[in-house]
Amino acid sequence: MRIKRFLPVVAAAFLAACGGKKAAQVRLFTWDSYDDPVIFAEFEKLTGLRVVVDRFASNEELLAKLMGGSGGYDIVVPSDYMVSVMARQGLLEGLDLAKVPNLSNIDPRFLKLYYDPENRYSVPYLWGISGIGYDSDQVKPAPTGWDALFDPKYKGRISLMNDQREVFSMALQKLGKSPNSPDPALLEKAKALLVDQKKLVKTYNSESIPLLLISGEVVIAHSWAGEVNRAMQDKSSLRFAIPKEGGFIFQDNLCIPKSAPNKEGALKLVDFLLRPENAARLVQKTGFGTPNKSAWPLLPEALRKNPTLVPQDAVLKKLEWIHDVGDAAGTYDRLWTELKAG
Amino acid sequence: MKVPLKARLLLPAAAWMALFQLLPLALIVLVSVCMRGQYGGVQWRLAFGSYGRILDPLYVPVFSRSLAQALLATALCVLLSFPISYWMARLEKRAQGVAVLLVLIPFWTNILVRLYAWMFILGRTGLVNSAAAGLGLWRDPLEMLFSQKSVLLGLVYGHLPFMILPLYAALEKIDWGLVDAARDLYASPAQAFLKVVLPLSKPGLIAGSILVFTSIPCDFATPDLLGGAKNMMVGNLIQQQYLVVRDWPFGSALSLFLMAGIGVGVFAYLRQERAAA
Amino acid sequence: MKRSPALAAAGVATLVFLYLPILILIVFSFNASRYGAAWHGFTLDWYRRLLENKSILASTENSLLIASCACVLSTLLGTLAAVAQGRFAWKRLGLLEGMFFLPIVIPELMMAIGFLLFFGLIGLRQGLGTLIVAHTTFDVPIVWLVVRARLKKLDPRLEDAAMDLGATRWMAFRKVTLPLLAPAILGGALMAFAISLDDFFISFFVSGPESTTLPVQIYSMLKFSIDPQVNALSAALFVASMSLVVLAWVLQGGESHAH
Repeated sequence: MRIKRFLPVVAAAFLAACGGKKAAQVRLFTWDSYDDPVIFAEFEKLTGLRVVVDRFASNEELLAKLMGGSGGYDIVVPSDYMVSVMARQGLLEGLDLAKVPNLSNIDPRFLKLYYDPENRYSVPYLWGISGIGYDSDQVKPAPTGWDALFDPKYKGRISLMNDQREVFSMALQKLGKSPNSPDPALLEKAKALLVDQKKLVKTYNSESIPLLLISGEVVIAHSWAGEVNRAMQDKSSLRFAIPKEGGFIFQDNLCIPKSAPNKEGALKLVDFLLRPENAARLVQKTGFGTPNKSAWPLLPEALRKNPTLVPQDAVLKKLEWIHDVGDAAGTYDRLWTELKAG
Repeated sequence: MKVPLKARLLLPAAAWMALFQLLPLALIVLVSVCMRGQYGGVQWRLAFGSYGRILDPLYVPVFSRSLAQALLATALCVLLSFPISYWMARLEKRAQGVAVLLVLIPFWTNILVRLYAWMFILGRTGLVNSAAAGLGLWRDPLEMLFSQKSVLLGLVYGHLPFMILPLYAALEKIDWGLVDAARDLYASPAQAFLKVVLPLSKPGLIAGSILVFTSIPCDFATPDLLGGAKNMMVGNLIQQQYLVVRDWPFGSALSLFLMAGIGVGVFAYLRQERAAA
Repeated sequence: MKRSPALAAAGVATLVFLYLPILILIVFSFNASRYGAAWHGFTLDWYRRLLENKSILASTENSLLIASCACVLSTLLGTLAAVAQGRFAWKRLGLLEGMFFLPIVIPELMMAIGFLLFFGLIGLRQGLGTLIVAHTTFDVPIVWLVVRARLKKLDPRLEDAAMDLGATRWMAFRKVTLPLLAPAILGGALMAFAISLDDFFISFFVSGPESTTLPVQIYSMLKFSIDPQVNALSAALFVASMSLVVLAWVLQGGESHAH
């Protein structure tokens, strides 16, 4: 009778072990709604490789999993700062870019960036902007800078992201300083600003920004452009403002972990995703921008004019990147805890 | 060698727990006395600093708030679950099985989905406010969401069945003849309840309270979704250390400290319970 | 047995409280709006998309499979342990109890990292097997606690009496104690199942490719706010569970006379 008890475990373990033997697969570990099943169906028809998709919700969780030794994924999709962290930890495989000819479709302004100056480990996928989402019916005049999030007029109807770095970066940019500063005195100043603001804030939320704006729970939100682009479809009075201080840019990238079982297949999928028609599809599905210049002409005119989807030089020049701050992470964490614990 | 029956019964479970519970735990204890990896995670080099850092006054409000919330939510769960558990225990046998299932079925629906539904119920343009406006009760929407109260509601909602079921299981076995006998001896319903039912339901209350109380401090979803993430609780702090700061040793030290705190409290309670039995 | 209508009203009111969010999500599964803010019209579109959404269906399958296996395993292990500890004298009971008690007080994320390191150390590939192992491990204390509480209330002399009348220890247990324990065992099993279905952190860290569970997928979907497909799925699962209840009611109809 004791044996019967362990049978399901043994069977499941056996099945799990057998599952890995299938070679005709590419395993993608990515954000939710960051791709289109149509693209994968076409890929399978073309190459015979089935795309298996698993999801994660944050860069940090992705990193923790890979750091802990969890393997088996062929492609992962980290954000810019995470690429440098993962590369330093030796988690990423060097890419054979000769096998990714479609890389030539990528606009040079999105290549050779701070986190991977030779594009050894990463290929750009989608990019986006952090700024201000708002309901144009309720917020007048239209916000132009970060100070709109500090306006007592909107007390209790403001939301910020629930992200240490994004929130501190916003405060630092408002003070006219770099979002990546390790200077404790400066960070204290930023924190003081945020503590003052806390009484005006209804919620710190990064996940349900569209819902908060659409339901009217908040009228002005610290948000990524993609959230607002999608929310606009449900409520036409919503708008996105890129603050005059600059705003922030992030880029999500395709990388291949060292532990990938099917590196050849992975490179094929990466190249396929870089095709202009696929990049254009992604823009329309996700509401985020594409670095793929050959895709821009394929977009409908309204989208082509949107600076959060197709980059405009004047905007790009002022956008700042949020880097990994290495040892200063402890300082940021301490101050964030002080802000939240109070 | 003849293995005594009691050992043979216990062995499978004990072996399982020793292997799959204690060993991973031992790894975590080891991590807590090592150094943070240069870019995060853990380096297998001994360093005992993490435990000292827990005493930082910065974390006191986080721990105290979590404790207060846990106690309050547990108390509310006890109050709210007594009527329904009592009612269930006195149903006819056939109905009892169905009642147990009815209590549990909502909990087979994912907690996040249900919390989102609460966001709609409590929101400015949500169910309560719309219904109240329609009935003429109040016009300006009541701000119910993203406050300590909505977090408490969410916590109670999320943990109620873990109080209802153990309590019901204990009450179900009560010999109602005892209650009738008390009534025959001229006790009022309240006295019958306090002197007969309440003491007999203690094991169920204890089991339920332990389940509820111990899982609340680690809850990060309810404070984030319904509380607006404005007030950090221990669960959020631990999550931050492990994931954002990537300081596994400190995250482990904090978790072990939390465990020890809860564990000590609960053990004391259990010891007292056994002594009284 | 006098039954007070006030008590029944309180019981029903509590049930309504428990079911209110379920009702909301069912209604919204037919809402022609992507975001659950206002009613935009009736549609079956989300259900249609759900049936085509292979990845959600796959993770639902995974979740149900894992929860079932873990539920069965943990109920067996937990019940045996509770009975062994409750019925016999032990020299160092405290230590034994402590070991079973532990997962209840352990923060989930810490346990998840512990499992991650552990499975990495022993070289076990992550997938359904490791998930079932992990889920069983945190489910056992729940069953154990509930059965233990109930066992304490049982009079051991009932079993002794049965044995005096000629029953073997096993028969006495099976015919006397087990039926009395049954509600607690069932309750514990159902709670274990519910906890398994909701588990996020451990499932995320202990899973491998293609073994994503439903809560993990839903959590990752949160970045884009709850998709009504999830509401449709939850509504469908809810209807399925309710059918189980109806079935249980019908089946119990024959048994109740045997009591």
